[in-house]
Amino acid sequence: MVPESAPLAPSGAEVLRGLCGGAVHLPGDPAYDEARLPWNLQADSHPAAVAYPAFASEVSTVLRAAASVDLNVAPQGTGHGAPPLAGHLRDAVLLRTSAMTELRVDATRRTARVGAGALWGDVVERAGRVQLAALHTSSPGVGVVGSSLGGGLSWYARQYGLQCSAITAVELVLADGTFVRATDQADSDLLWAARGGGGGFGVVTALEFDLFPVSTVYAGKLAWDWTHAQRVLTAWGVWAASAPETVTSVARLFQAPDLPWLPADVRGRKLVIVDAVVVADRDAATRVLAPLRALRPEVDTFHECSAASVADLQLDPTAPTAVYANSVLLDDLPERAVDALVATAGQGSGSDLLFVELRQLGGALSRPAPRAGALDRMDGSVLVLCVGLNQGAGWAAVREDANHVTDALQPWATESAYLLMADADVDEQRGWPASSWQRLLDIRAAADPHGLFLSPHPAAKES
Amino acid sequence: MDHEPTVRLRVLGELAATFGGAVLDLGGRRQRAVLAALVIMRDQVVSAERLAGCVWGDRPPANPAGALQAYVSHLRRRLQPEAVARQRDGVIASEATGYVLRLAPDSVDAWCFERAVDSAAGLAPADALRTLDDALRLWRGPPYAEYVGEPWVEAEALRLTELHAVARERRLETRLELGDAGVVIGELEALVAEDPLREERWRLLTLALYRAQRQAGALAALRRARETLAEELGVDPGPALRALEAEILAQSPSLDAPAPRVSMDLPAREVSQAPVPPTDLVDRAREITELRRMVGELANGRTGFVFVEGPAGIGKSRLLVEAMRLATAGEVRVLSARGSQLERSFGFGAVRQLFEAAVSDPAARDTLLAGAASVAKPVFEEMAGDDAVSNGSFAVLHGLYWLTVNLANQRPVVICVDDIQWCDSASLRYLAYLVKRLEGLQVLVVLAMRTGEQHPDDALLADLALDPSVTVLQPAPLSPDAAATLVRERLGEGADPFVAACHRMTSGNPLLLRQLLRALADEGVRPDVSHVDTVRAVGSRAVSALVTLRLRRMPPTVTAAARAVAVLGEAADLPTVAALAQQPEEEVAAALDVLSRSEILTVERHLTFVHPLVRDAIYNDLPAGERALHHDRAAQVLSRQGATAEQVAVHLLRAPRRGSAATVELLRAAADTAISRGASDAAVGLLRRALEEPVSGPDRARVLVELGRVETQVDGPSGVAHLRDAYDALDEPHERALLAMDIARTQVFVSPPGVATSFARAAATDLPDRLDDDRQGLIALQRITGYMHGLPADSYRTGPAPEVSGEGDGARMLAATLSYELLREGQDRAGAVRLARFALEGDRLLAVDTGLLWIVAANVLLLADDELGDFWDRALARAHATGGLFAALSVNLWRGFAQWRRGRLEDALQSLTDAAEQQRVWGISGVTSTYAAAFTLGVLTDLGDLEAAASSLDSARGLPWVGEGGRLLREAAARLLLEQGRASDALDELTTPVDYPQVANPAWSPWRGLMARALAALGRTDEAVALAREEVALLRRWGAPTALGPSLRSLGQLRGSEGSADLREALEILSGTCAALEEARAQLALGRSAHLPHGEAVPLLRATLATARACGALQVIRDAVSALGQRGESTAEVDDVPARITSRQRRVTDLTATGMDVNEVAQRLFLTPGTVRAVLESAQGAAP
Repeated sequence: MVPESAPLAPSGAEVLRGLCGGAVHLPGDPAYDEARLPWNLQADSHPAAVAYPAFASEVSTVLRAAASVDLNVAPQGTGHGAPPLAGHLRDAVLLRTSAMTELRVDATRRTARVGAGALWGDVVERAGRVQLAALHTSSPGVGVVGSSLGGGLSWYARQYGLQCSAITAVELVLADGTFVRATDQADSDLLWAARGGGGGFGVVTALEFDLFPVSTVYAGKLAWDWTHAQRVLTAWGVWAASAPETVTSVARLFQAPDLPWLPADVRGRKLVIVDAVVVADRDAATRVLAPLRALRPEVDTFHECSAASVADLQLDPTAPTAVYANSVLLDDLPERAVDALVATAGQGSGSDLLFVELRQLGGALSRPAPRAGALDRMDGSVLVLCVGLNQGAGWAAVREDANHVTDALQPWATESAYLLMADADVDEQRGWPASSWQRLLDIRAAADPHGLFLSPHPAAKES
Repeated sequence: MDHEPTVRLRVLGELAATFGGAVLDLGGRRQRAVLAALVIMRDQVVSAERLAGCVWGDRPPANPAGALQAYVSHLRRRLQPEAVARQRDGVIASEATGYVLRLAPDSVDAWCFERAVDSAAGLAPADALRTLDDALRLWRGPPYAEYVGEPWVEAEALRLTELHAVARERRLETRLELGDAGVVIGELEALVAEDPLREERWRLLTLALYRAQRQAGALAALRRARETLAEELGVDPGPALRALEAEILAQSPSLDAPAPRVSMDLPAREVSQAPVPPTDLVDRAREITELRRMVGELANGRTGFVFVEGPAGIGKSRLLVEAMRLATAGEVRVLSARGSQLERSFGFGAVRQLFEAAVSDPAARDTLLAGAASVAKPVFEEMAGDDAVSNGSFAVLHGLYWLTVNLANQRPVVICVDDIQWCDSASLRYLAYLVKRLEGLQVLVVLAMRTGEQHPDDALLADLALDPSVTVLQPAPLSPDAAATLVRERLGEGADPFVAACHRMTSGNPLLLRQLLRALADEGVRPDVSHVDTVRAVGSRAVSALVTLRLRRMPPTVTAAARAVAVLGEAADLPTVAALAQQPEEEVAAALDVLSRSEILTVERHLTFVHPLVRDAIYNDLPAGERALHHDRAAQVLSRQGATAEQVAVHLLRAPRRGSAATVELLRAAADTAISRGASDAAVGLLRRALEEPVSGPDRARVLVELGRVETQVDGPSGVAHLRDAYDALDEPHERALLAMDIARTQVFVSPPGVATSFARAAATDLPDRLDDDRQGLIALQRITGYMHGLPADSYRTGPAPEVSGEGDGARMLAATLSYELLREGQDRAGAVRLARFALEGDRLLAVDTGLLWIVAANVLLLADDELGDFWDRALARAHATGGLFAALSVNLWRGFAQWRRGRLEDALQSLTDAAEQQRVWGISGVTSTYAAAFTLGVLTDLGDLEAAASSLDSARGLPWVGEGGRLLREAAARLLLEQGRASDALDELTTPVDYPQVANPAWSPWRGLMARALAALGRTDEAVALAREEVALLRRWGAPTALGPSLRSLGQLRGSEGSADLREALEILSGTCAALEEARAQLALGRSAHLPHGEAVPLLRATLATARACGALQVIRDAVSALGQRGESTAEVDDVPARITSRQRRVTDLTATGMDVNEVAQRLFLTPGTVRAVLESAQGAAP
């Protein structure tokens, strides 16, 4: 928890009252406490105001009003990635994009157009109706825009690359309140920044991106008791390095709490799980998965299913929850790295982390994307993500648990960081290749010369 | 939007082409076939050979290539009328091997159709439905209709027909997805009947039936499908139908609708005939039970009045709809109306909404508007003709009341008026008048009012809301459970946090909640945990912002249509909306359909918004300048359509000012209509706007006069100001003199003391010599106003003593004034009577004076004991006929005074109560209210109801005790205090220094007698007797018996044993006069004398008893009974004597005896049927 003192409105925030058709909440207003809560309840901030604009024009009004009274603006979608902002909002307007729910799927052109408030679950469902799939992240409740701007690792990532590379147009309001539609033809710098550049260059109000002709997949999970972690993860590492690009998988150590959103057969158990999606028919997929099935899992749920249904594959909580997350990118996963992982997160490690997952990278993710963008590939072959809940010992203990894991994996780590899954203290510069970083700073400076927007990683901003 | 005119081709139906909207002539059948063949091949090159095959089949002409070339060249010329010859290969291009069509994808209806159907597949249901509807609207018949059956067309026609069938199925499927299962069943049945071999149609039908809770019907449909397929094709149903059957049998949850909702798009007629039960009426069990009870009791002849109040959106209108539904189900006639801000300027607008349907049938109209109701006719006339006799309110209200009675006599009636806070004042007066007279009518009145806002008619609204008979309903915010129900109905089963957020963000306000859920449904939001934040985001907005949010996400045509409807208000119908939105009617019809499906509009009698807040939101979203221009355009459009001046004026009131003479004329005409309906306030608004247009020259003076005259009825000070402006602008002296009289008459009541007097004097001085009669009129006003305002006599009795000369109206006015002066001096009764009779001769003053001078003259005759005959009846009849409000009020007031003086206490009380109601309903206060209070106080005191009198005095203390009315109040108060035994207070009351006008004649100001009684009670007998003697002496000079008698009696009583001579004289003087109560008092006073012989006293006391009983004077009865008791006489008969009969009772029984029925009697006597029935029942009960 990042505590913040006295939730008193700076009087200047009053200029926002009544904007957005009344959808502005100031401290003391009846709905303020509800409106300021992000999905990730770990962040408990008391912004100077919370605004829910529904149109670009309303965004523009909010930005101008905030600037007029020297308040910063922090755009936020669902607030899954809220923690890095916590503690920095007292003099800022939290601009939540949830009211911009526009969602259109063009079956002919295989594209989607979404407002900044659209959720992946809705996009997946709508695209699925016309046998198309989006490069969506694992949870249906995650906002499209936030996760797309920072990269976006999907179940099809190894075949089609990062979601940010699929973006074809972005509409945004710059710090001075001007509205811009950036495409490859016009304002292409901003489109370039939107492809993985995170934020800080404007309030994105809508995105357009490609969809892919995937209608059925072979997907499911394999699970073992976590006593088999060493054996399974080592074998997974070998398999993952050489698997075809049609498969994208995640292996993880899962200490399932006894919570109602989990299925009964998982609840309260400690497991090692491999989730995967194979874009192939049953026979081909069976051949791909054979090495893992040879490890004789206790659970095997793989089956042919609609692409839309994989949105729910991973067991993520949908209701707002307080979680801590941090990650590290690895060049490879040799047996010794698995040892280090199991020693710090597995049986007997004393770790209370909810899960530690290894995301299989490589394939299209390791090649430069055809469309230029701030982030056009992933540096590394595995992303290790630690996620913890505060189960009574405090957030410091959770953080420490995660640090144990990431520290132990340092020998295999790359220089880069995946900021969408990184905690607050990560140096922002590590999020991009050096060549991208300077260009990104230039674009931000041009779009926001007076520093109106709070960057998701303000700690690194001074650097 | 294209700005360049382009070619558009239609092939869905007959082949046709337009250019920039104009239809093109495409030539003969063969030439058209060339174009059709090119369209079929779209952007592919069509060989000349193939084209020839299309045009001539297997019988080509000798030179097909040449003929083709000619056709193509003609077509090019026709399709590109604006291009020069060389450029004409644009649309039909020549290629080496043939020809190819070069048209944009949106130029051909079939191409648009195909693309729309394709794109709908990826859209959210609401968008998809719009897209499919748009696509289907392009379909005008079989494709390439004139070439049906030709081989070259067949394949393409089949393809398009199939696509059409699919689009229709998808459309219904989408509506199913939107939760419209119940509504689409009919359409699906029709689709199935059209092509029973399409399994998809059977599937949708089955699904719809299942979702509409008709599981048996669903299975039956499957059976029919199976039979049909077996019979026609000999096959079994396919996998889709078989799976569906299995799922239905298993009641699989996957069959449930994703988001059912209430459908609002039923055809208009059905709605108005039988309002559908609003299924989302939740949490209203208590209110509905109450309404059901009252509607039920209506059938048993029980009347009722319900007042529904609460904040905007809480569900008042819903309850009204429910009341109407219950009524319709119970064979009760429903009359409904709704106030609206736009129509506030329509005089009797709400009343016309109520009755327009009932009186629209000419035959019914004649019956309903017969008899007493006939004066209400102008209310329902489009244009006020010259023969519109009525210019006022009172008679019209009475007529409308009788219209209501006539309707209720046919069958029970429920009157529902929504948003009464926005009703025009005239309609509110009707409602106030009606609810006071509901007794005995089969009428239930249900009114709804929005609370928490300021309204111009607060007093009238409060009068309604506080009526003793009212049942008040205050719908409460919805409970969380109810919110869950609504979420389930609109979006499906909601997750708890989702439902909680919906409830919290809307505070349980049903309108806000419904609009929020609609907005969420539009966006296809699922009610799960991950969308809680969407609820917060959208639900944070005010209703207005929610509506504009939804509207902005709709196509521009839809927005334009919504705005047009918002501007037009009641006048909104399809052609007008289309004209105002400047869009083709077809597109506007589609837009209105979208709006009604989206729960923004509802189609009742006309197009209205689902809630006034929704209308406000859309209206206020228009920038102010644009709004004014819209109104300007609306006025033009309505004018062109032949709308009435009133309808056009509603918009002119809000349009920019342009100084247009035509606008001024229209506004004046509308004001004229309003005046003829008795809607003065509406007329004032219209004429004020006309003045601002601006208007100049002689027209300006005319507008000022019209405005000022009508304003004097509702806003005296402004009326005076405008009439003064007009007075300054006019030249013609006689016209000016008449205007000056109007001004002075109004100034009496609204201007500071002295203003009227000096204005009248100045106006009189200005007159040329020849206008002597006008001068007399003005001098009359100068003098009477000076007196009424208590000015020093030398300030209004200026110049030489005026002489009445001639027989003009002015002479009669002067005579009235002078007669009143003589009355006050109290010395020349004969002279006063002569002048007053001259003043009233021929009822001339009744016609020219509002009720100032003829009242004065009548009062002189009354106080001089002269015979008035049926003057008051004539005056009242005239007031009813001309609608003179002030006149009617004056008649009731002064007739009450006359009745009181004659000892007809009940009649007097009734007249005064009528006057009080008129004051309240029209908001008249000031000078008449002190007179009314003083007279009422006196009557109650005489009735012996000291408690009522005391409370009446308490409320009279709130009035300004000034002028003559103040003096009368003071004397009435002193009399009450004396009766209460508070002599000292009475003396204080009479001796407190005030500057009421001094009146020498005790007949009109009997303060000496009152003070004498007080002094006597305080033991100061000598002073008392001296005062009483002085009064008697003064009254002997005046000589009116009914004034002298009581004064003598009073003196006799003060003198005790020495006073019997006075008492005997008093009795002698009074016997045979009409002052029955005073006669009884004289009898009592004498009969109580201790020294009077038993044989003389007892008959006197018995006579006292009889007279007092006839008057209803309780105190006198009590005193007589006790005096008789003291003499040992029995008074047992007191209990047996029939209750007194008022003149009202007598007139009712008399008329009934002539064979009239209750309604006829009531109409004749200006009573309600309920009163007549009550009178007859009490008369029967009293009969032996």
